[in-house]
Amino acid sequence: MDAAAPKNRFTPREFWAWISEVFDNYGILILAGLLLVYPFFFSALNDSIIWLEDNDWEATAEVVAEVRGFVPSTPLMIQILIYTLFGVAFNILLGNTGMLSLGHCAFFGVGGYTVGIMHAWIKPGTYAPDWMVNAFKVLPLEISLITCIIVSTFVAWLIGTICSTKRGVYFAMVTLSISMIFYYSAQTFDDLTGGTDGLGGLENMRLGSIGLRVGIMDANITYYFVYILSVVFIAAIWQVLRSPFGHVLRAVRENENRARICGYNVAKVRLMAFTMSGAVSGVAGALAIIYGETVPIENIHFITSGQIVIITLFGGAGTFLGPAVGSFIYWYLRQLMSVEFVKYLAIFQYWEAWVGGIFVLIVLFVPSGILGTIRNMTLEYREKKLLNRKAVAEALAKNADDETAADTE
Amino acid sequence: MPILETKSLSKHFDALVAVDSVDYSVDSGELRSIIGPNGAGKTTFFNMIAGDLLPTSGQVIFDGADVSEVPAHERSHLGIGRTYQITNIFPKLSVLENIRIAAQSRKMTFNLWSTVPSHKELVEKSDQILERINLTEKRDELAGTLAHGEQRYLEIGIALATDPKLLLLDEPTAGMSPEETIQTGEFIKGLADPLTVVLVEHDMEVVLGISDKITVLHNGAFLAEGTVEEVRANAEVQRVYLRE
Repeated sequence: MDAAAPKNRFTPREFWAWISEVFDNYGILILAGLLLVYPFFFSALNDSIIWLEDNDWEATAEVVAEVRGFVPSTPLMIQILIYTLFGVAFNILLGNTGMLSLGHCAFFGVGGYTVGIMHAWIKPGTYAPDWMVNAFKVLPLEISLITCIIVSTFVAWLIGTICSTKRGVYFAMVTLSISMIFYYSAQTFDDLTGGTDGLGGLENMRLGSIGLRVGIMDANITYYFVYILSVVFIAAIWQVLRSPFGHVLRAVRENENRARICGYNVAKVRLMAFTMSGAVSGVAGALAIIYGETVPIENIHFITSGQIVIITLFGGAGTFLGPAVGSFIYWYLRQLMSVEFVKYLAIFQYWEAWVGGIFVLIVLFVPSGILGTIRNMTLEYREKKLLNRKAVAEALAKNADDETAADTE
Repeated sequence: MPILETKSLSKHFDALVAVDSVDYSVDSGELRSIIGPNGAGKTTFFNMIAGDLLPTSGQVIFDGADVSEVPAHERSHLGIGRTYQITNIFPKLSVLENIRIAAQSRKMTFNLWSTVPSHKELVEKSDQILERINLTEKRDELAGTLAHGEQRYLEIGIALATDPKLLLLDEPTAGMSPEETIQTGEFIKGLADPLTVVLVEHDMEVVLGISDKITVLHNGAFLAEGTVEEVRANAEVQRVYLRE
């Protein structure tokens, strides 16, 4: 046959396209699967060092210990998971509805403080009224988490009614200012919140139903607790974004006026998106205080809002799993620089500057984020391939026509 | 029975009187046109009917109910669909999704626990409309990448997908080539009855060929109304419009 016929070859480009396709379709399952076994992997790494030391392989043990410094630890993975959930919730607004909120620290903080305050103060010898203390011997985590969901949903709805009618920069500024009101309130009412020292004294957080203690005592148990809740909420958001309502969100993002003329109550849709996003951010905030067993005031500070914007844009605001990638890169880089790199070069102690620099580069050169860029490249490639195939088919059809014409002549 | 009526409908932008107490009435199933020179208030008049703007004074009566103060999205549910002079679609969504979004607005906004393809009637309806506007082959392309004429058709498709009783078309042939314009005229004629269609046009050829009745606006005020011949013969109209 002729040499122009397409060969069935597996090029690197096709390989990446394939990877991207698999990731698009099964990415959530793959990530969830990998994360499910992560603590086992990390424990195995720890155990191997001990085993090597016990068996007089001191040199090898040292090398493995050195390598371990570059592997994210289980507590770091807890942090990554929480910020993934936070980012996915935040992305309901930024990526899907096209609203840039700079006040998500309010929900993150309120979620954390709700659980924190309940565990710190509902015990004998505190402000809490007797009936409340007597109701539970030890306040179960289920109760405080459910309260947290209710409170953060309400707060999100309240803030949403105030600012979801605003657009663009005005929306960003109003959310930012409202979140600062929350921050200063937390600072002012320091009897209740611990103020700038953070709220401590919340030991003994346990799941009442199965009597399981979570917290700093056991990273693995806390990891799985956070893992299960994150997966449940992320799966719920995934479903919402592919539901008819999810399509409406994207329609509002693309063209608000058109969506309105199509018959959608845009204000209500935006408020709903804002409330959902805020409520889940509250849950993420609650999870964030469990391992540390304190509520640092930074959780409700603007820094947290900035972090989540960076994380989402790192990974790609237009993609569902972008925040997962962003969260991993952000926390992993932070850990690497401030713990490992700093051993060799003192300048790495200013990790914020480095991460900030990388952020600037990403915004300048790959504005759709890491996952977003990979996806765009794949789409482009697929389209090109489709066009090629069309052209080849047309050429073949034309050839065949010519031949039949020649035959009949 | 008129499906749409306006009673001394006016819109003032500060000192500027864009629409000056217009009385207008359209019967069900009619195909009507509104013409007038630039700045005659045609689009403002449309905006008040569809709800993009609220009138300064006067009433819009649709299907027997006063809708003057009803927000735009609710008017869409009552059965007013519209297109814009400047193409107004969802450029970064696929053609199919453009239609589906509009179609789904009749049934659900806050449906969180299903997926779109699982609603069979929605899929069927979108397919029918794509067939009707002749974009079935391009269903998966991004709407923004379509040719200008195709985008105009897509916008009409979006309006049709909301099951309107009254379809308002604001210069549907704007920017189209002469052949496309003739085609579109035929297409619009095919839409009328059972649908009621009102169009604003600049291109006299389209309007004259297909309308049951033509209304002429000038400086925001009603100038003349009648069949093609009547309007053509009207001395006032000739003075302000046809001669220009």
